[in-house]
Amino acid sequence: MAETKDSTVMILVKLTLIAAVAAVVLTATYGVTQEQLAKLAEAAGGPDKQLLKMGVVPDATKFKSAGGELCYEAYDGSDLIGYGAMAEVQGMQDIITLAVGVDTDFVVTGVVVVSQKETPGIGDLIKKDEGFVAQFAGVGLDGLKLSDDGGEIDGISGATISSGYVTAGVVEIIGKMQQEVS
Amino acid sequence: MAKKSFVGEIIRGIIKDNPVFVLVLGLCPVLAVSTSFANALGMAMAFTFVMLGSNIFVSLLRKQIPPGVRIPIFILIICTFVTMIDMILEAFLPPMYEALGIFVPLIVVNCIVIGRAEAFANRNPVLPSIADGIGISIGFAAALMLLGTIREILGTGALKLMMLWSKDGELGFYPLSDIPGFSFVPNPIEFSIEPATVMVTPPGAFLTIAALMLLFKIMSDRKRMKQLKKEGYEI
Repeated sequence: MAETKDSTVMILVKLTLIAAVAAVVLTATYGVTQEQLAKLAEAAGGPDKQLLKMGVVPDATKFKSAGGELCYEAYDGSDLIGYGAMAEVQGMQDIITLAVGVDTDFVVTGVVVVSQKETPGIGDLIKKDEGFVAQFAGVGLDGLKLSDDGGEIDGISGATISSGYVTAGVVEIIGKMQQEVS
Repeated sequence: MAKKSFVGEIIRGIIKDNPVFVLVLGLCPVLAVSTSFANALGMAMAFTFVMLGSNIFVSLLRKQIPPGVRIPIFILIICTFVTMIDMILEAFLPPMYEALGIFVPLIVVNCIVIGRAEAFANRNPVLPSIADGIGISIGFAAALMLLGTIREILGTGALKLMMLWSKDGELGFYPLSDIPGFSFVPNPIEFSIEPATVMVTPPGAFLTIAALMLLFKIMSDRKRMKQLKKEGYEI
């Protein structure tokens, strides 16, 4: 440790210097990583491409923006067969990103958990347990509740809360799609 | 401080000063990310980057750091490395970034890193500080991966051994079986036990750490007993 006592001015100068070097290093890293992130985003394509790839509306051959923020129209050839949307909803631990597909009557055709940060080994089963999201297909807005609450979705045992958040999230996204379409 | 060999410093960090089992530092990330082998590996790598960077720079600047503001400067140096590794993970290893989540930024306040800056790097030249950083990182990594392996096996009944590898030009974590020369390793390795979910939750981490610490303690006590007997004490 330094023996000399630094004056207040020297302390300020040293702190500023170190902070400045740190800022330069971080700016450089930021530049490089942002480039890479932009490449990743480009490779993934816009929401329309991602919805198509995830197959939330199984028969769709292309998705086209419906003009709103979230909702994309799903086409099979030139026929409008449903809608798809990808949005962030509240989870138990953090935000969950869901992709939801519906037919023209707003009956669910597919749900995909795009990203989540629920409890590893418990809540994250909403993504890992494929049987869970598969239940949503064919269910209309009335049935979109956990079976404990009289709906048609069976929560994952041990992860009822996360299951509930996903179900509520799907309802929320469908509501937004309906608003944007009408 | 007595002169010690480079290798000696490394080994001290792994065994005598093992950050998790002996110093009992940094338990928060240990509990949170040791749910599986792959997570533990990712966390250990991020930690090593920060630990080495912090030790090297604190040691280089040790004569320039005003004692009164040394902690803010340590934090500043550590922050810089943590932010770098956070951004790098996000850009180049997105799945790992998602899995580790908040625990990468939280390395900033990891008491192991600050502890080594204060107790070692600030008082020693660069080379021993690098050795200390390597030793502590290996000790931390070993503890994390041991916990991760045990918890994954007991909690899920299977073990997925992952390695950082570049496949088809894409850097990422791949199962060991995908790596040339290791194709004989099954993925996942199945164990015929009933998975106990508690093992992948924080209480499971405490149970595992307790069991391992007990083992560590028994082993070091045995060694001490032998030493004492040699010296002629009646036990």
